Amino acid sequence: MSVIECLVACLILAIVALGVAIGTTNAASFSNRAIREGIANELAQARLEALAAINPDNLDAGDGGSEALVVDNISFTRDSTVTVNADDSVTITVAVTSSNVASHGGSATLSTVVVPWGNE
Amino acid sequence: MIRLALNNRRESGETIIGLLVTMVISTIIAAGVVSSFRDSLMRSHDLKLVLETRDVARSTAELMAYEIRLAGSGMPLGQGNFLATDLAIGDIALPVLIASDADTITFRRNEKGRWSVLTAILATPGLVATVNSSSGIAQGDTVYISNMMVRGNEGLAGTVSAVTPTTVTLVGGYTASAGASFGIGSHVERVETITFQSPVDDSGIVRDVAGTDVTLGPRTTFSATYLDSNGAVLVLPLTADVITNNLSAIRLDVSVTSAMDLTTGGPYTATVQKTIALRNLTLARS
Repeated sequence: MSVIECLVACLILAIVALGVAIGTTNAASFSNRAIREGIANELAQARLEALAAINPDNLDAGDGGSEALVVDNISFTRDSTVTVNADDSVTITVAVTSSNVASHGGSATLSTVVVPWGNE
Repeated sequence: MIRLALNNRRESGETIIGLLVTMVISTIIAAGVVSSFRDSLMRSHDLKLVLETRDVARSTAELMAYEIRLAGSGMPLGQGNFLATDLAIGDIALPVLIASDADTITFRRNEKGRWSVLTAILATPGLVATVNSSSGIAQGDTVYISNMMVRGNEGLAGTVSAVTPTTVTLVGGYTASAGASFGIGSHVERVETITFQSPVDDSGIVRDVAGTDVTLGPRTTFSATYLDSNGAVLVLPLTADVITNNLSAIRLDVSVTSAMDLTTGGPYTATVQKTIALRNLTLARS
């Protein structure tokens, strides 16, 4: 067995090992992304429910806004938008994004429309 | 001959060196792979724990929200002469919430959605209601009688003292609209009392209905915050007046602690927040 043959064997082994490493890293990355997406959804839903529980007569654009949150050591930004429509219904939109959403994922946007109590 | 022997010795040396090089490089690669694989296993363990715990927290919060959202159903809260906003309906009809604390929520609703129908007129202060069937109604139950479906606007809230297959006898001194008379066809609804209790240990949230306890899940706890129609937090303990006129929603923070520890140490705790609008109560005010 020559040195060249040894090096070729090592190269093949390294390629196989690299494949395994990339596979496990990707699997971890997907799981991590799933957690971030789940938390982003929970944060969006929590804020949407909180705003939807307020009498729409008492809601205006000032109830929207941006806030920074940290869950499981992951930073998120939660933006809420409240729009009063011409028919007095209110459109609520909540968008949540994690600090490095482009590379790690973690975003959610939820919207709903609520009408003044008693007019449903 | 001498040259051949030297060549053989050199080739043998190259083979040993090659073998050693291969072993060293292989060992380095294997060490890297094993280390990476071990890290991956640990990460997977933690991720699984986090996902499972968050799922349990979400499911528990949904389960509680589903029930609390129906608080007040089957109660004639919106009737003209029996309004939720009318404190004269007394303690028995204390609308929707009976006990409300950070770690306890007790509320009423017609859990099964069943009702009976009066087959004879019940004029107050009469005690015996004649019904088509008393199935599901037992002594000690709270019942509400409403004549809304026979064009009335009167209500009654009372406690059952005795039951036969076709009669329901009420405890005297019940609460009803003044001079109420309930015609044939009026609904008699059995309204049950449901309690959610957060534990002080890791035994889990308990749901109680008529003394039948069930634990929603081990290591679950909740904290309740009570909100008015502006989303402002109401001060505890809630009074009957505040429940009647101000309470609009309940915010739940449901927490679950994992059964196992993370590889980084200590258990994982997931918290899910839900805000539940009490529409049966708020609609009765509008």
